[in-house]
Amino acid sequence: MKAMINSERGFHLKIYAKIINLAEDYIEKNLNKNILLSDIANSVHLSEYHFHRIFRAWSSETIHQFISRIKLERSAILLVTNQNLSITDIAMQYGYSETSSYCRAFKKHFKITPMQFRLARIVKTYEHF
Amino acid sequence: MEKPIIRFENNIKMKVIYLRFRGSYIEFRKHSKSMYEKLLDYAVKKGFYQEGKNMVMTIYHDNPFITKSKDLRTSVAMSVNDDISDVDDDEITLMNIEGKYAVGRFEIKLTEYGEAWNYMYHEWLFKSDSIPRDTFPFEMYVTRPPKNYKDTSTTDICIPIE
Repeated sequence: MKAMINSERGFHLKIYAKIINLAEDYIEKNLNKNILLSDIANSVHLSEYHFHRIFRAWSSETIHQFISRIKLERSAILLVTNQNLSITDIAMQYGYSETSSYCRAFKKHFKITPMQFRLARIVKTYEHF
Repeated sequence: MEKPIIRFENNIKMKVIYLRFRGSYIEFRKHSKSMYEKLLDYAVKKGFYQEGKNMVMTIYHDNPFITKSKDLRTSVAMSVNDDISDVDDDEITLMNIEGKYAVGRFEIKLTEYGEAWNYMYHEWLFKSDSIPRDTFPFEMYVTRPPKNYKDTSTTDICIPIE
């Protein structure tokens, strides 16, 4: 019975794959904006309620946690690959209206500040050479 | 591994169908063959496949040094005609790849893909004047990937730049 339920759940999750893909692609294109649940739901032609339920069934994260994580991870890449951008520039690029809120979110996720992250990666890059 | 020839593609514009995997690269490699086969079977069934014309690629949506391995997203993709507007499958999705890319063409063995990616970022991008663009890179298989550890194949590693 449990195998059947898991198999059914797997089947239902499979049919959500495309919805999740489209939502992720929408988020990818709009990382510089404040992305609302309503925007994502509209992009996949679902109500906010239904999209939220599907995402929760699919992922261990909420959609807001997912968006926040992707933005922070992308910003981390930019910290290292584009030294000419200030922390403020990068915060703005990912839709943060204040540098302080970006830095707080970054530290909570990576356990170090954006500046410490940048410096640590620069050192690692030069060590590689 | 020989140094690649680097070229700039100023305006890549491709429509692709893809299947996306979520999980570590080790797990992805266990599933990638069946994913490519499913994509090819669908393209043939729907008439999207044109011998010698469709480009096959692997798209890396996340950076493995930053994203936890369980959260990594990797897509296997195949280019299709621009007039394709819908895909009637629950998993296969359509998207566009656009913009400027720096492309390193490599002649590499199966064991040299990591080295090739390392070269593109650490040896080329970080030492060049090019500014990375915030979207995903991908590797495109110009010739079929080798089936053994001895042979080489031609692969383009495409890095998005401004």
